[in-house]
Amino acid sequence: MFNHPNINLYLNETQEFPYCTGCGHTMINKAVASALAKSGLAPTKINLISDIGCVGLVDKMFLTNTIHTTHGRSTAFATGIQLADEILFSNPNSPTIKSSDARLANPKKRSLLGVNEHFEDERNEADGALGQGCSLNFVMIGDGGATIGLLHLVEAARMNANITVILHNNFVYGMTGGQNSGLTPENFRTATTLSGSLVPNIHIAKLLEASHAGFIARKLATDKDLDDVILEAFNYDGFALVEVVELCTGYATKWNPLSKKDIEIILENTDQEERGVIVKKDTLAFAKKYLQSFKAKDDYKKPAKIKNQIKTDRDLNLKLILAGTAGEGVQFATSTLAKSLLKQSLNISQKNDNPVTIGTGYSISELIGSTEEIYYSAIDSADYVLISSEDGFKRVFNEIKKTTKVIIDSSLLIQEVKDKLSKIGCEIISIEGRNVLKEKRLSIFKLISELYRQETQLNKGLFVESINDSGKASDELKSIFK
Amino acid sequence: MQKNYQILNGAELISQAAIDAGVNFFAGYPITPASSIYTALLTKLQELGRVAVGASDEISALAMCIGASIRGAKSITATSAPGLSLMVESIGYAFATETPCVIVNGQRLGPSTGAATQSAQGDISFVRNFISGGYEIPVLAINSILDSYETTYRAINLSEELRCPVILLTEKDVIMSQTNIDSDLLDEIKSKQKTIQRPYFDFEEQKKQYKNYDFDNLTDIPEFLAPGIGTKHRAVVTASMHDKAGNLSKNSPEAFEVLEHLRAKIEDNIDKYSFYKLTNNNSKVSIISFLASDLSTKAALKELEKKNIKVNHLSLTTLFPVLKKPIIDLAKNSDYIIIPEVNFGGQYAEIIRGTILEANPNCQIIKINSQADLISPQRIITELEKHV
Repeated sequence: MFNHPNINLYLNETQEFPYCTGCGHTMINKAVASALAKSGLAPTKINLISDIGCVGLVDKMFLTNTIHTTHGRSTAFATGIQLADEILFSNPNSPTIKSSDARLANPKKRSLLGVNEHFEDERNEADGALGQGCSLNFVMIGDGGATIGLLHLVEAARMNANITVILHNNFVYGMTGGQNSGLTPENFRTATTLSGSLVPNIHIAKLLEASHAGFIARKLATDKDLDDVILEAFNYDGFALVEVVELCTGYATKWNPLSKKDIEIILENTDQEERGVIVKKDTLAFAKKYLQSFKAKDDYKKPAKIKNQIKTDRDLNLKLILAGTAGEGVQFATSTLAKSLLKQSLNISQKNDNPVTIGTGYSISELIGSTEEIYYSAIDSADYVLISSEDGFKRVFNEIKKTTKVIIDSSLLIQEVKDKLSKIGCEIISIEGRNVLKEKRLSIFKLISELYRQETQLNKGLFVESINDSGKASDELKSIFK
Repeated sequence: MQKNYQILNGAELISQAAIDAGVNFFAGYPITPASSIYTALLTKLQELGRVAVGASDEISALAMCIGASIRGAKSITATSAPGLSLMVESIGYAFATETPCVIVNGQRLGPSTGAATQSAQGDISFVRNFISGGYEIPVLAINSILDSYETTYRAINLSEELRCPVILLTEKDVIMSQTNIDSDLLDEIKSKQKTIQRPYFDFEEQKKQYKNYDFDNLTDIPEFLAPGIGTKHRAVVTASMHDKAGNLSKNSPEAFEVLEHLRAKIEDNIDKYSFYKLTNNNSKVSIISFLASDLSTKAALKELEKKNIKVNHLSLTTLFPVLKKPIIDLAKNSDYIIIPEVNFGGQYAEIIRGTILEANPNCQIIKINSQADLISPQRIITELEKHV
């Protein structure tokens, strides 16, 4: 049926088809080879990515590059190959599959004589070992791969990766013995649904259309123009699905009448009777969108540098825990404090903690400032614990030791809290925060201001400088440090 | 003395090293505590016009990374145990197809969902043992925030050099904690790194036909040909058992030779990636440390030095394959080897127990364990002082 003169440059005619007699895979293989021959692309510009199953026996039949992958994941691997190919390794001026007509028209570029060595090499020396991209990437996948890898198909369609998926739909998992698949229609008999499947099939075309696929076609393996539809899919710049409905003569035909008429009835009953090119939209493939969105800069942005300005008079090893409520700027306050300590030639180590839901509950930071190099970043016994809210108190209560100085917002010192702290025997420094501040969340800064009062070798001016540099200082915050 | 510093965490340095080492493809899925690595990599890669995309799950993420690497990109992804569990099949695929890729495992407290924001070191046995067939893949450990840079660079180089997946092991405490890094020191470390590429097949010069998995000696690395660039040669990639040409074969001698090569390539090339630091103080007491426990160890040893107590210290970057040479040398001269680990039962200690005892049956192995967070230096000091 498919008799393009160049078909043997793509289909390995020294190999025997490894499929059962009458299996649709044989016809699909031939149609694919014919489509490739009609494309005129050099075989090694073509990547055949195969899934697992009878469909996965295809590799030896083709003289293209072949990448045999794991079950269901073929589409995801293909997406990775294609994105790298077009975004990283393509020369924007190179001829692509879309301009195969131009290539056909140019006699110099078209050769009929043999595998590979007779295709004019379009590569330049500058392409090196990895260019030039714009290869043709297509996936050969069956029921199994489509079921396990359903999410990868949806993702490739949604992303509009420039790959073609040739889905061999024979309603069963052939290689493993004809079990029911995600594409098995309701009432269809399989090895595992001998009295007829109780569950309807995934409507793969509708699912992928809903996933924004720009090209969807459905054909039968026996269609005489299968190669032309496949070629149209290959030429489509974006995600293309060609669902080919076929017979599994090893299993499915044992339990179900499957003449052409029977198949057409099944397709009608499952709302899949539309044939040919069902969807073809004008879309922009992902790689092109990506290249438009992200223009390469020379270098990536590096974090800001901070110079140390003054030294402390004596050795210092300060361990602090700051605790408050999520969203109130505890971690920002601690980062600012860390910068100030660094400017004072102290090494710093900061660790933050939240409940996993970052927006609510407590927010705490552990900060060590030391003249010595810091190896151990955990605080076994804090010098100061600054507590600005009830959330914070509940979280750090167990960290408070007898030798810890607790600087705490006065609003928290209800009798119960006072009793708990007095049992520990730690020093308590109560600071008016929430009761007097307009912005309650600035409480943590009032506590930090007290810290500077307590630890006289710490330079408050550096903290003020760091606050001002951040650009986040409100007037009320600035007034706390006057 | 005035210096320039930057306040950085492990995630930032991992991402800088990846970019500097030539990584140009990232696909990822967020998970605590690795999400900050995702963000840091995404930002930088997109600034440079390289590929960074979010995937719909960890299976997709790693599959896309490996696909890109098959095409010739340098790929990395980052996750934690729940995501790594999903990636295991694809890591096996990368191993069998000899495809470079780096997977960062930011450890958190398990089992299963566990505690996302608690640091731990409980995946050591896991990353050693998840390839069917018992094959080893290299595992490098990050031992501090600053170390995140060099070890990441090394992991990417190693993955290219050996054409295999490499696990870069770190933990929440290092990824998400910040410290001041001396900018000049960082620049110095950066200037020392050299980028390694996988060996490319020279398709211009070669008279012979390309074979995807060709080697003369078992430890040789097959040459790489990118699929889809249109040379005279075909690329044939598969994880099914194959001969040197990549053709399916389940019982030919050559196919079994290929399996042997997969083993030898990793285990017998160990001299190329034995990264460790040994401080020999001629003591009968030794300590082996890695990951953040290396920091606890350094803090402890610094305190002991003040009392003029010195022990031997083996600090490991290469965790797997096990570095038998330095461990055996250490064991031969030690009465006690202390191994601190943040996991239940001392996973690494148990793995190297045989190696230690075979070298010195009288050596006592002392495990210092905690299930989460960090080992306190005081516990190490107390234990070392007992035996010195």
